[in-house]
Amino acid sequence: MDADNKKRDEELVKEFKAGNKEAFDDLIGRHAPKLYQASFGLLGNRQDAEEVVQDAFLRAYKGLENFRGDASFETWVCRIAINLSRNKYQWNKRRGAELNLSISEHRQSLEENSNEDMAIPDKAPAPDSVLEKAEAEKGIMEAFENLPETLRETMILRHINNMSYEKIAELQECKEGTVKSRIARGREILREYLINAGTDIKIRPLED
Amino acid sequence: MKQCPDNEIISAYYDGELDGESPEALHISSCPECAKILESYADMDKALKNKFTCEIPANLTEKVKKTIRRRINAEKRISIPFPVLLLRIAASLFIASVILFYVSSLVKDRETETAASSKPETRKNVSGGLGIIPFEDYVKASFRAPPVSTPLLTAPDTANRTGKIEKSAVLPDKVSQVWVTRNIEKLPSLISTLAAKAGISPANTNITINDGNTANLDMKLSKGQLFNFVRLCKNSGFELLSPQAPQPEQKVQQGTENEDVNYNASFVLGHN
Repeated sequence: MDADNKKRDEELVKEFKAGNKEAFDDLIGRHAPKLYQASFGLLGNRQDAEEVVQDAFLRAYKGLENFRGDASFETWVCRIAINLSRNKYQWNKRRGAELNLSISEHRQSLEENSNEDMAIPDKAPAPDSVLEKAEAEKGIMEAFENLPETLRETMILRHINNMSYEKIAELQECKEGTVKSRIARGREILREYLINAGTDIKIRPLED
Repeated sequence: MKQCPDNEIISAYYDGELDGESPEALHISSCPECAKILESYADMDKALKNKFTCEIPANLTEKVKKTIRRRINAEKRISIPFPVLLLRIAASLFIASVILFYVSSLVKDRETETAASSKPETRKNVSGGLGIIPFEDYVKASFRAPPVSTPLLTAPDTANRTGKIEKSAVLPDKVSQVWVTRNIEKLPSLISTLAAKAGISPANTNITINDGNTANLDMKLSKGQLFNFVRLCKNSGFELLSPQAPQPEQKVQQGTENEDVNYNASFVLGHN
């Protein structure tokens, strides 16, 4: 399936280079959702994610004539989007407000979800369990926001975009082993954070 | 395999990146401790997906296509070749400077006119009084002096008695004038006296009485001598009828006093 997708991308790129600019519309249709998902995962903000997707495709449009095809189109455009997201994340971080807002939005949504769940007592889990779950998730999010950027990015690509280690390595231009270590390290940091924070509700520490 | 593999292996196992037949994979799949770790990974996965997975906007693709088209077109519109851009800037600067020059000259003219026709009440009060303008200032501002005309061949203040012309000095080679005299009979003797005073040779002086009312004078002399002669005539009571004002080309030039000039004067009898 992946090979078919890659082949179709190659055909569209060829058509574009031959002068059929409409082919680029197909490329947008094929990859915009994935890029949006990845950007949203990295930025936590819909508007920022949309801007990143637009900018990434605009750059791809301008650079496609010179695209040599060393990597697949998907990897190339995704790499552009990730770089743009990285820059935007740094920018937001410097400004401070956006990131905090996204966290607070998430908290708010969690609270809203908890309230909705609690409003249906007969079908929903017990209120205590819902709150505990929400608390655990909140803890995970706080820990996640504090992860080093590279680990954070790697985990997003794995957890949210379900990318293989191979694909992530291609995107991040590193070895698969490095991706493997990064993901494992990220998970460990989250686990340790949750254990130390006492929010060990479902996530239990290792018993030696 | 009794001992649990390290977390990197368990993590890879969770992601399906470990060979399912490997000893580590076999251990993890049957180890309760490893199962706990896998469970925590699953919780993390769920929490992250909950937070970072979002619905893709329905119109995302169309929106992106539209935005890209708009931005590409906008960039095409504003992309002007550098030499053309340079030329446009230069042309704009030139036009702007021409307009600026024109406007500034207009303003300057306006200011000059305004200064010339300024009314006394608009003038600065130099007397220091409360709105009282000194009479001299009022006169100066209200009345413009008439243009000063220098009669042809009349001696300017700067000319000295030797006939040396210090400034101005253009006389044509042939000069004609009309004088009014009160005594036509005595005219020849008076002219001879004045000519002698002006250093003109009697041989070059020819005066003819036409009748009782008019006389003609022909003289060949230098411009400097003519200058003095005319001055003497004026001082002796002759009244110059024409021309009263020098023409621009008749302005006297310094250094031409020794040039020859043919002078012809008509004398008309006048009565008071």
